[in-house]
Amino acid sequence: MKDKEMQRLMNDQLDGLATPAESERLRRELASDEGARKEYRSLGAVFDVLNRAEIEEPPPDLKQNVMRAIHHRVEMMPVRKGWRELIGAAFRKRPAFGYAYSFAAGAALAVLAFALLTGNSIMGSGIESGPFSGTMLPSLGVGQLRRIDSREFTLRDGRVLAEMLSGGDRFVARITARAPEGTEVVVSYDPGSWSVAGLRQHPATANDVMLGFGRISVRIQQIGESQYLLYLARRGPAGSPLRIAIHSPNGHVQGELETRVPRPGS
Amino acid sequence: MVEHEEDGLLERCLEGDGGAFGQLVDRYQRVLFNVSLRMVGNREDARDITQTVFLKAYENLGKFDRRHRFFSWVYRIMINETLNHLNRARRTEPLDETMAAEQCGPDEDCARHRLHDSVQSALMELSPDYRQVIILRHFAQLSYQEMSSVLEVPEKTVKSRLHTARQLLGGIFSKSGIALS
Repeated sequence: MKDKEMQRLMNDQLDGLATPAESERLRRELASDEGARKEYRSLGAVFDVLNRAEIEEPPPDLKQNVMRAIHHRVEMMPVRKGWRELIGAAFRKRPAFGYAYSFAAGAALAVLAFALLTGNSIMGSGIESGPFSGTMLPSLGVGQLRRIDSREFTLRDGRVLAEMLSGGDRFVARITARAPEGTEVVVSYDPGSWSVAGLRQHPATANDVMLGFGRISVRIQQIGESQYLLYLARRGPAGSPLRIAIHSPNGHVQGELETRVPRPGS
Repeated sequence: MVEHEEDGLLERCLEGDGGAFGQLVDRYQRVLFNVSLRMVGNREDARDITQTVFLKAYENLGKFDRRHRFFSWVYRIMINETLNHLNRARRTEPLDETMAAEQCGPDEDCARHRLHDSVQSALMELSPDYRQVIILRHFAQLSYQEMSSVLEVPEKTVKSRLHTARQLLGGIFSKSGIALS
């Protein structure tokens, strides 16, 4: 019997797919060929080990996370490339989504009008909003957000500073990156604890920014410093950290940002 | 779940019934999570990938060709997602987060963890092409025909890849001291 045919028979037998006639044929071949017997035993042992390996249960919140994200589909849209078209397409497919979006847009306008009238602009969170460069840490005014944690990642050709800022119930992750082209900065968070309320970029760059489920990633396409402010809204109990991972062409680094506001004096 | 029930769920999803999609998530999350976990070797990444796959499936349901099987389509998305993830990871140093069984409880648990980790380490030594055929056959229990459809290669290629992958695994198991009966 040809090797290929023998291999097929062995695999089909172990996979439980061989017909009775094929099983008998294999039995006869194995009885007369020691090399084939050895190979069959070895293959059978692989099946045995794989069969003993257990199937893992998925994380209990996986489904909940998926369903929550479906209900917040707008958050899933790419920030830079054609998000208007994607939203437009979503409206065409799901008119109800369009009504919901219109309602949300109306509500946002109302909030904005209220903020302007009262002087409490939502985005005026105390973080400098104009373009800046040349410094990794722009100064913050008195009584504004304060830094509760930071991590600096040094790369071969750059660095990334990740900071967690907080003031009252406002939380902002600030990522300042000067990194080689192709570097990807990923901020991930527990979507049960946080949701993204807004994102700002300084200055406007050609970098790819993707808001995903429980994560935001920035792929550096343009040389120079860029800064991202990720406005977070708390959904669950305090203290769930943000995870920062940087994949650069020269390596990988990662770390966590604490989000728990330290008690005064601690 | 029989096929026409799945068709009904898809129909309801397309009409905007999120609950129907929830039932599809129930149906496939375990197997998709395990495929992803065995492909990338990291629970957290596997969770992210599985969630992304479901969301992509939901977003693109309108493009799904109903003449094909839903699971083949979702598996295809899963395979693409995991391969993209592995390609990104290849350019970087390995994460120091592979599944570890440092903390074992009873002996039985320890042995199970050790086997789990050894199998995972061995799988990670295979190239993605060989790894995915092993995973789809042994962990997702797909038939040759289903694998052929998911991987978009002829059944003959599936069989030949599987055989080679199993031989390679046997060598890795022996080398790493996994007890072969």
